[in-house]
Amino acid sequence: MHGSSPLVRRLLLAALFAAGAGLVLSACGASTSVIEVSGAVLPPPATPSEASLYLTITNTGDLADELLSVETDAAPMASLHKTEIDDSGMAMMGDTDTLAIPADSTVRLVPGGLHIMLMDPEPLDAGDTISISLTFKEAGVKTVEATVVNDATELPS
Amino acid sequence: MTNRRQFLRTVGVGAAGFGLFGAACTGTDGADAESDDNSDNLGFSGTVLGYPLAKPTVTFTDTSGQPYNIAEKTDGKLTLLFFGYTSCPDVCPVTLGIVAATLKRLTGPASKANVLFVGVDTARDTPQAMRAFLDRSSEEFVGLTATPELIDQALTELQLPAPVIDDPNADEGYVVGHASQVLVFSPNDNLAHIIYPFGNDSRGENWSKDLPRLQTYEFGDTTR
Repeated sequence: MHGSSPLVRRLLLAALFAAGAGLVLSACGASTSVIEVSGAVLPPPATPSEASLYLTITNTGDLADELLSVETDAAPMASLHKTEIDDSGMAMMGDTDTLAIPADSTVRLVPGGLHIMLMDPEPLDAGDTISISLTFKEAGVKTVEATVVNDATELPS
Repeated sequence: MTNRRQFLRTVGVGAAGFGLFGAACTGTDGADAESDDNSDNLGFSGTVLGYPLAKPTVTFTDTSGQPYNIAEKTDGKLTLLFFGYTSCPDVCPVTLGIVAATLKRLTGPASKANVLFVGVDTARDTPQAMRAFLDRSSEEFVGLTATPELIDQALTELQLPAPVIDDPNADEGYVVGHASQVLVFSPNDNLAHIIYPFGNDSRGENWSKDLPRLQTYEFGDTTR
C-alpha cells in the first residue's frame, strides 16, 4: 500500500468495517443447526432379514433440528425404530417417523432404545463398513461410515 | 390379543411388580449395617429377588425336537434363561450376543453356563428358525419352544409378563412384546435369586464379573 492516497486508505478501512459488521449481523440474524453424527456401529446381523444400527447425533447449534430419513447402499430400506421397555420388563418395538434433535443436545441411539433398522441388508461381517446417510430438516444430509463390530459387547449402552 | 392373554399379561405384570416390591423391601428392613449386602444386591449387577424362583415345571421342546425339562437338564448347573423371539432385532440378539461374547472370554466352570432361549412367537419361532438365530451367537445355546399356553404358564411361574403378540396375519409382519430380563439359576440350589434387566446392569463387564461369582455363590437364605 506504499504510496496509496489517504482517500484509498479510508475507503479500504470503510470496506473492512462494513464486512465485519456484515459478519456480525449474519451471526446474529439466523439460528443454525450444527449436526455431527458419530460412533455408528452395528452388530453382525442377528437375522439375514434385519440389522440394527446404533449411533450418536449431536447438535451443537442453536436451532432445533429433526432427523427425517435414513438411507444406505447396504440395504433397500432403512427406518427409525424404538424399543420401549416398561416397568415389568416388557420390551416392545415400534416405528418412529422422525426424531427431534433439539438445539444444543445429544441424542444417542443405543440397544434397548432408538435404533436404525436395515431391512434385508447385504451380508455383513465383523470389520465391514457401510455408508449411511441421514437427512435432517435443517442441516441437510450427513453421511457417515458405520462399522460392523465383532460382538455385542462393543455396542454402545 | 385375546382376553385370556390380556388377563394373563395383567396377572404377570402384577406379579412382577410384587416381586420387585419384595426385592425393594429386602434391603430396607433391619439395621443399615446388616442390610448393606442386600441393598447393593449382594455386590451383583442384577436385582436380587425378594424370594427365589424355581425353574419352570413346563416341559419344552428343544431345537432337535426332543423334550426338554429345564429342571432335569440343567440340574446343578449355572443356567441363564431368557424369553424372546427370533424376529427380534434389538434386545434379543444384543442380550444373547453379549452373553456369548462374555462366555467365550471366561475360563473355568462359569464359561460352560447353560443359556436357554424360549421363543415366545410360536408361529415364527420354529425349531429351525431358533437354531439359525441362536447359532449366530453360539451353537451351544439351547432354543426352546412350547405351546402358547405352556409358555404363558412358565412365565407366570417366573412372575414375568406374558408376551403381547399383535395380529399374526398382518401383511406387513407383526410386533411382539416380550419379557426382556435374564434370570440366572444358581448351580447350588437350582433357584433364581437374581434377575438382570436389559441395559446398564447387563453389559459384558457385568456378566464377566458376576458369572464366576454366581457359579459358586451360596445364597443360603439371604433372599428369603
